[in-house]
Formats: sequence, C-alpha cells, structure tokens
Amino acid sequence: MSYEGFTSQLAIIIGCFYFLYALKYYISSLIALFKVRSIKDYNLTNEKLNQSLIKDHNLPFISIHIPFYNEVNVSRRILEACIAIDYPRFEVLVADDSIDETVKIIREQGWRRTTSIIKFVHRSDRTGYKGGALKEALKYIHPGTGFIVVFDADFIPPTGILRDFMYQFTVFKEKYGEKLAAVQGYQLHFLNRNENWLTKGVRAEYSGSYMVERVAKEVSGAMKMVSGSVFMFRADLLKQLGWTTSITEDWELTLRLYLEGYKVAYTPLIQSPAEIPNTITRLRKQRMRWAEGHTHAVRKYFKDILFSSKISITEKLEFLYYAPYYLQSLFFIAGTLCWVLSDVSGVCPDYWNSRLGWGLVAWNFCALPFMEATGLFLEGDLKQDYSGIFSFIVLSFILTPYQAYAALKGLLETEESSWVRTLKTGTVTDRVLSLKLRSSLSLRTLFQAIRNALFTDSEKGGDSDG
Amino acid sequence: MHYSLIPRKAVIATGKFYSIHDDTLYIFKTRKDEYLDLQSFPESYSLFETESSWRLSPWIAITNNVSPENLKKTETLLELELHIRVFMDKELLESYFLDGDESEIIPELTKLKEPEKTIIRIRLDAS
Repeated sequence: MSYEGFTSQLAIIIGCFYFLYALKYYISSLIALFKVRSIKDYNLTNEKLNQSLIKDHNLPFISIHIPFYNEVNVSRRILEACIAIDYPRFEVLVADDSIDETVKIIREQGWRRTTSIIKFVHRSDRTGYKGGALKEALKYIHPGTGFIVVFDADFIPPTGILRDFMYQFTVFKEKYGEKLAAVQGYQLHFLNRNENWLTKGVRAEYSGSYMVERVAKEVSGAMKMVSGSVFMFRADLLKQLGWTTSITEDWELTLRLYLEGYKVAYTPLIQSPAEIPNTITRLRKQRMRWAEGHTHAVRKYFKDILFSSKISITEKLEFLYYAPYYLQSLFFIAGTLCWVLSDVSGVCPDYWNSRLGWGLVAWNFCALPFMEATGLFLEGDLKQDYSGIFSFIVLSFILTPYQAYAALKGLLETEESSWVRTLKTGTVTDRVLSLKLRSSLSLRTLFQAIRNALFTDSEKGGDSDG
Repeated sequence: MHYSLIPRKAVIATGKFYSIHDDTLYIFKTRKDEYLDLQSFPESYSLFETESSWRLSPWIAITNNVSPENLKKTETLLELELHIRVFMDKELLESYFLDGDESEIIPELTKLKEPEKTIIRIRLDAS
C-alpha cells in the first residue's frame, strides 16, 4: 500500500471512530432539547414532596466539605456564602493545606462567632493532595451527619442549595432506590465569563457538558461522574468507600462507587457559580491533570468495570466511550490531517470519495460546537455567549497536544504525577446565583426560540415557553 | 500587695479551659464564653501556623506536636487570659470537637478534680 493509500485508510478509520463520538453529541443535544422540559416539570409536580421536606425536623444533618490550598483570593467569599446558607442542621468543614496568608483568614475570631458551625482542619503537609485533605476531613464530621456536600473554594453556594440537594435526592431516590449514592449538581463556571476570550470559551464548554451531555446521560441511564464539586454524597457510603489520593480523586471515587453497585444522579437544577481558569497556562495544567488522572484510573479499573455484574450495559458503554475521552481531539485532528493529505494527493479507496470525506470532517467538526450552542440556548444565553463557541474551538486545538501527552502518560506510567493546583483569582465579571432553564420545548417553540435568540433580546435568562 | 487564690476545686461549667495530652493542646470553652483569639499567640510558638497541624471549631481548638518549651509559654499566656487548666479525657475532648455537645463536657467540668497546682495571682500596688 502506498503512503497516500495508507493515510486515506487511516483518515477513514479515525474519522469513523470520531463519527461515533460526534453522533453521541448530536443525540445528546436532541435529548437535552426535548427532555429538559420533563426534568423541570417532574420537579414542579412534586410539590407535595417539596412541602414535606420543608419541615425542618425532617432534614438530616449535612456536612459541607471545602478543600483549601492557598485560597487567599476566595476563602472569605465562600465562607461567607456558606454562613448565609438556609438550612437548619449543617456544618462547614474546611480541609486546609495552605501555606500562605489563607491561614490568617482561617484564624480570625469572626468565624467562631457566627450562628453557623465552621470547623477547620489544617494539615502540615499535602499528603494525597485534595483527596488526602478530604480524607482527613471525613474523620472529623459531626457524628449525626447524613450527607456530605463538597465545594471547591472558588464556588459560591446559593443560600437554598442544601434544601435543593435534599429535595433532588428524594426525587431521584424514587428512580434509583437504595442504590442512589450521590447527586451531582451543575458547576456553573460563570463568575468571570467575560474576563477574556478564554473564559468565554470555557464557559461555553461547561454549558455543553452540564446542560446537554450530562442531562442526556441521566435520561439514558449512562454512567455519571461525581465531578469534584457541587455534589451531595451519602455520608455512610463515603465513609465506607473513603477518598483515594489520585490526582482525579472524583473520577476514581465514581468508578469504585459503580463497582459496588451504587449510582450517581445528575440534575442541572442545582447550580453553584464558580470561576473559570483565566490563563492558558492554568487551563493547560488543569486539563493535563484531568487527562492523566482520568486515563490512569481507566487503566486501573478497566477490567473490573467491564466484567462487573453490578454495572449495566449502558453504563459499561458509557465507560468505554469515556475511557479515551482526552484523546478525542487528537483523533479528530489526526484524522482530518490524514484526510487532507490523501485528498490533496488524490488517492482514495474505491468505496470512498472526496465528498464523503469532507462531509465526515464537517460532521465531526460541528458536533461539539453544536452541543455547546444547545447548552447555551437552553440557558437562554446563546445570543450573549455564542462567541465562546469559537473561542472553544481555538482552545481545543491549543490544548490537544498537551491533553494527549498527559493521557498517554496516565496510560503508561505506574505512578501519577503530583497535583498541580489551579489558582483561583477571585475575579468576578458576572454576578449570578443560578440560571433559569427553558421550561418547555416542542418543534414549534424551538424554532420560535431560535428566532428570538438570534433577533431579539427577549430571551435573556429565559424561562418562557419559547 | 494582694494575693488571691483561684480555688481550683470550684471549677465552674461556664468558661474557658485548656487541657494537655502529651504534645497536644486543647483550648476550649463552654456556653456563651469565647476562647482566646488565636492571633494572640506569637508566631514563634508554632501553635496555629502553616507548619503545624491543628483543628478549630467554634468551641475547641486543638493543636498537635507542640514542643514542651512552647507548651510552657502557651500555658502562661492562657492562664493570664483566664483559661483554666482541666484534666479531661482525650476521647471526650476529641468528641467535643466533632459535635460540640456540652452535655458530656459540663458534668466533667463540675466534678471536683484534684488540681495539678494552685495558681496564685499577685497584683502589685504602687502603695
């Protein structure tokens, strides 16, 4: 086979492989577009349930865990937000590994004078990084704790978030029964979305992930991840499973949880705003950590997951799809380059032609932007944030080689690298506590909504029918 | 010169206290009292600094691996700030950190305990 023939064959194989990813993104977008209504309606019709939960004596004790590492820019902000939380029985437990001025903030007498209970656990070293800190925090929870909620330091939990978590947990318990271990909420990376082109891009990316991809996973019964922040976990189970010291401790916890036969539920209706990494270097380091830790855990648990009798076929398929997640951009770029080379040289297998090849490239290229546009549309932010989609495309190309390198490292190495923290700056460009979702969609209202989003201002923060 | 003996056998339930177990220092309070502002401790004591391990809650502060020298200095400071040394089970204090439940602490505080020492507070008058 000639060099050109090889590249064209390779382009088709990779292109078709990525085609499956793209297909999933398109289907997810359609599911989210038409199912957000049912998620919202289901919650609204359960008013009775809501009423029973409002009675304070029914509510279990909740321990909020916040890992700190040199959070001088944001520590005061999240502690003040936690103090303002409206819930009758909770504590805040800060797992602190700081070696900077954060310690001075923690020592302030004011935290002990509030009506809320705030505990601090300071370690003299960073053994196990975030997982290690959370593991330590777990030793010191109130004995009556029923649930543990985790936030990263840059989040601003809204006042009603614990009641929302309890409500959603009760709703999802009807679906999953005793197997429900945790409820994951929407990490609304939004606070500094207008800081620069990069934060706009990441904002669009998160919108696609949390508003579309995860909603579709919930609807289809696929494996869902506990994503490091804005989740509520059953305390008894978390104590039983414990935290590991992986650099992606959340993903490893998810896999161990599914291996035990437990489930995670996701809802976009619980939202907590947070900031977005605002420089390429910070974002690159964060994504490299994710890619490496993710792939390392996939390798570690691959056989166990595939042969587990406690995990459904849909969940296993999702795991298989998710396993090479951080290599997908590499697949796309490699496939496209191979196709360009073979098309320029004019060599193409008999069963293929140029139009099919470019069609495949276009189909694959548009998948993620389409998903992000859907996410922004569902949040009523498409008109304002559409430029973020273009930023995201640029970002994907920049991050691809780094993510691919880190993913391969995670696959081949025996030990993970050390944790590289993502600096939080405390910058806020947009104050928001939650986004309203569109309440109903049909084809007619969908077209009307798109028209409105493109041509009028009326859809901002839209909670309308279209 | 006036002498006043603080009668250790009459420890009352409400107040500010401290306890020492090996190299671990427990500073705690009950009811509406408030334990010493941690900023009052000089950095050189290494009690609540970055390099040591410690825990804080609204009702108790615990710091580990305190050197004997620093323990001595800290004791003096705590006594000056009217914290009373009490002898209490480590488990009880650890459990107090977890739940802040005074119902187990207060009965222990009201029990008559043998004092380790009697403090003599001396005030010097100009006359």
